[in-house]
Amino acid sequence: MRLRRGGSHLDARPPGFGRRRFLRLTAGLPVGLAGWLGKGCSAGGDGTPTPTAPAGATPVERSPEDTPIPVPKANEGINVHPLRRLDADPAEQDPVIVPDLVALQVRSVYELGFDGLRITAPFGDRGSFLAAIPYARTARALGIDAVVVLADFAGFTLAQALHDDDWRGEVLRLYATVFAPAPEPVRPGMGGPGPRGVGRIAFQVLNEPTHFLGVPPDVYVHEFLAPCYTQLKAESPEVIVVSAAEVGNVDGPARVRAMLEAGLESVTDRVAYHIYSRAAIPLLSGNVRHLVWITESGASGTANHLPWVRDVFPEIHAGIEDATRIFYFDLFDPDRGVYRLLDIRAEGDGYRAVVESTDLYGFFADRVATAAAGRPLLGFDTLVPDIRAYFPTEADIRAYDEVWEG
Amino acid sequence: MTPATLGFLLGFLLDPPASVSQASPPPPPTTVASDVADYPLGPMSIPDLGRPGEPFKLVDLRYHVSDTDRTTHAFATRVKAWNRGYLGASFEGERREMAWTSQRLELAAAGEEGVYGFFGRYRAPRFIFSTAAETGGATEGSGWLLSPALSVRLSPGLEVGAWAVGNSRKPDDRFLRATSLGFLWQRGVGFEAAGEIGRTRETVEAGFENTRDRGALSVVGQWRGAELAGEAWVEDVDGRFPRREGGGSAQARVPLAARLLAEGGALVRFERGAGLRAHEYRGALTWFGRRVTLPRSGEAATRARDLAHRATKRGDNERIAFTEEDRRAQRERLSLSRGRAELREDVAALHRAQVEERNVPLIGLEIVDAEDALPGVATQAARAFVGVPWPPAWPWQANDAAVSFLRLDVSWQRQTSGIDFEAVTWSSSLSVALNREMDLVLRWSRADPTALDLIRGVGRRRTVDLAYVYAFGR
Repeated sequence: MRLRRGGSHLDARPPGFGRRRFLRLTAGLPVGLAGWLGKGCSAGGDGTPTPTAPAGATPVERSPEDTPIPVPKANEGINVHPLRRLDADPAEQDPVIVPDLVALQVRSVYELGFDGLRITAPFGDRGSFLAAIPYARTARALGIDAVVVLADFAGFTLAQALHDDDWRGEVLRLYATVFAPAPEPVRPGMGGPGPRGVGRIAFQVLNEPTHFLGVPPDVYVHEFLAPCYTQLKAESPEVIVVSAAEVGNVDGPARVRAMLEAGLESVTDRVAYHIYSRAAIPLLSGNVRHLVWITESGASGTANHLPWVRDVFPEIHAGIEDATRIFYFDLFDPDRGVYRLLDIRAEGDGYRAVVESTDLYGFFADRVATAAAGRPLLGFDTLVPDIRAYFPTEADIRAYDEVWEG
Repeated sequence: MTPATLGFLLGFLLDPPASVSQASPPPPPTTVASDVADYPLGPMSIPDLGRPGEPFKLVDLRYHVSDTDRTTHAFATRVKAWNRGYLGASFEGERREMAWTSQRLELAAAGEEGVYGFFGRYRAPRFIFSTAAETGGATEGSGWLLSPALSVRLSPGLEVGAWAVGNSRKPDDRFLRATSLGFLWQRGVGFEAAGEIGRTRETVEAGFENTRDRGALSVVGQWRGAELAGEAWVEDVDGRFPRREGGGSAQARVPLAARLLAEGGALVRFERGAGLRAHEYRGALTWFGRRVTLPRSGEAATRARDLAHRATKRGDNERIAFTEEDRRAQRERLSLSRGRAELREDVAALHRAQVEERNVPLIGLEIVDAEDALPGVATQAARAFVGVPWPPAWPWQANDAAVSFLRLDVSWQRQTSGIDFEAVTWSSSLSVALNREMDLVLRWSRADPTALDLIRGVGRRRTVDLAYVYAFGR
């Protein structure tokens, strides 16, 4: 599969955002130019500040007018699926990870100025687990925080492993070995809050455990999160441990509250919520002893996307004082017209992204343009000439197989 | 249509409206109730509970063995010691308990794996004082949890009370953990109301304290042959995560015909801002072998009221008892009373009326639908039973001499958790009532693992239970 070079691969033009202008801004400069340009391009703290204070604005103002800079991280986080191929192959032996598909999604995350990427790495699905690796590594190399969700899309394999005292250590060691080491930044000064300006790594222990797994809130804290937190901190102290959120409707807050009353705050670094209903916001407004990440939030129906992000995200920040970052759900998934920002289609011998939620896309892109303040931007292909550099290594695959077969 | 079905329907149709009208208003008290009923082990008359143990008389003997992934035995026995009181001892698994009950004093001590509990209650003519004391387990450290309670009788039908809970470990530097005030008003047999307001301070596992202020009101009454009950409560939780919850329940038991009883109920729990949090809806139909009598209608209810009021006037401080267990306990207490000779005939008359108005369920079906948003569990259940009376007869044959004999119960329950993960539990039991005081029960169940069970490595569970019960004077 040929990897496309140059351009954004985004052929739908969101209103309010000039693609021509964006292409001009992203006209690539050689990698290695002026590392200081990217310095401070993210919030440098815990997530991007609210839309009223784009994180990238300040450092960009200090740059010379004609020096390209990394895309300012003017938006918060986004959920990305570990897409590795579009065509299912029942006879597949070794998992096929199509570089174009990985590049297409990570490129969008970078170009839209997200400062966090949340992706599921399901232990029970070898292909998707391995596919999550290049997403997380590339994002981090670009200075974007990666939140890796320790959850299976189906079945109980990972939950059983995390519950089992003997198996848990091996599985968490695998995650720590594969995902925790910081990659080299694509260039110095990408502005991420991790070492050398890369993005940090966070592990979220399970996803909506009551909703998906039938695990009651207190059981989750005592039998899953607490032992995982201890183990993860022993393996990689720099890892940020994020507790699981619960469903984003009005059923979720009571479960989160039950987790908090069961002692969640003492075994996590970040408290996570999901918000898909405005009614849930006041129910989650109580202060907690950590920062809060809204690891999923979005609205069903393409027409509702922009109003949700434009109106409800500020409502969330205003209503939940501890919330520092909201991850939009989601960049791409197979369901048309529901949550996704983009569609990804096969075209010729490659793939292209088609903007489906044009209004929201334009909203995100406008904020990037505003934060860039007219500065030229470093293109994705300039920074990541070959995404295969971040693909799973033989050691990664061997580590997975050893734990799986063990 | 099978002959049995046809017969059942004919029996229903031929046992007609006249019976319906009988079921509505309570029948006038029967002056002479039958003293003897016939059971599989032979006829039984009403026992004289006033007779002293000489020196001991066995009144309870229960044994239960349960076999699943392990076998658990439970055994309980109680004897009447002279005319002074009842001495009981029991064990279940690792739990051991001893108890002494006299007319005014109850004492009990229990222990299980290093946790010990003690209970005492004194029944005076105008008040009842009780207290429980419990030690903590290994994780809670030394200290006592004390639960004193006081009930004051203002009239034969009205009690007011208060209770409190104190913790000598003083979590959050506070000994007093809960206080409550309440009342119980029994307006004859047809209406009863109870209310309570209270404050509880609980220290959650995370270490912070919640203060719960709660108020509840419940009523139950007999109205035109039907029994209606309702409860409403509201609770304010103040703490790091304040909220207000409320809920209630409504239940009705309506005789549709002399031998057909319909029951239904709903229980709901709300949270302000989040709407309905939990519900349970239930409906049941039961067909009886003889005319059905509800606990608050009929002669037994009237006699229970008269007995309670008479005993209270004598200083025995008794409330009207409506369940079989409460009435038996009341009989035992009054059989120890100084005035037992004067109450003897009233006690026996109530017991005779109970036997006379015994319900003999033959066929029943119950449907339950429940959901609780907190653990994310939805439950649907169906239970059915078929019974054979003694002397054996077809279900459609009404028989005033019938007593309960055999009963086969089958139940199915589907619990859905996670993403549509269903765990089905089947259970059945065969009960044999050898006479009014002696039962044998064999129960079997097979429970599929829930999603959480599978994650924990727990598979399908099969359980077999066998129980034997002897209860003198039931």
